[in-house]
Amino acid sequence: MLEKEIIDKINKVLKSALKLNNNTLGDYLIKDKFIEWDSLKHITIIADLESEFDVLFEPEEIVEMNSSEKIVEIIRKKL
Amino acid sequence: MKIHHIGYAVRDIEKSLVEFELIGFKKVGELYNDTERNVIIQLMKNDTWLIELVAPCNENSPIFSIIEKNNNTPYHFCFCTDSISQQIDKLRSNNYVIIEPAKPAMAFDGRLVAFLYHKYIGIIELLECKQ
Repeated sequence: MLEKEIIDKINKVLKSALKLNNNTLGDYLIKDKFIEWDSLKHITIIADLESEFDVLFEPEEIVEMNSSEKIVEIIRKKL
Repeated sequence: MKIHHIGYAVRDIEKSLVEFELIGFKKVGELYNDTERNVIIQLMKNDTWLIELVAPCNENSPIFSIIEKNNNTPYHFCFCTDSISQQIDKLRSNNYVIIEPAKPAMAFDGRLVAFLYHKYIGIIELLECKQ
């Protein structure tokens, strides 16, 4: 899968979960900058990403996935 | 899997348990301050229905955001399983995400519990109930 496809899919999941529109989406999203991205929302994002990419994340990876940059890095290794 | 109890997130456990007593629940066991999980727990029973009142110890508690969003609310069903590791493996292959891996729980005599999430179900708890 191309890098752009991975990023687009991740952004689609994050935008939907965090209810963002295109205009509010920067290059990278960081968990701590979004009050909506709490621990419960994080789990729903992980579930959506697992479904979108057909992968499973380890608990340690789930903790590390606190920015879209880190999410890209972890997913890229699994594809 | 057989249902063991319903988890009920509450902001103030002392006030909530008084109200649950008024509608027919009785305390089961003592109040547990589970510092490992950052929660305070009280089990209560009404006939065959067992509920687990869970209050946050502080803002870092895993249920703090649930209470902030929904106030006092039931938030999980707990299911008995003979082998928690096998059941987790099975659920993982059916798109459940592990919120909290299996570890001993004070309120259940040190038996193993784990929390998982499914996008179409929400949060469930597993409790190892070996015969």
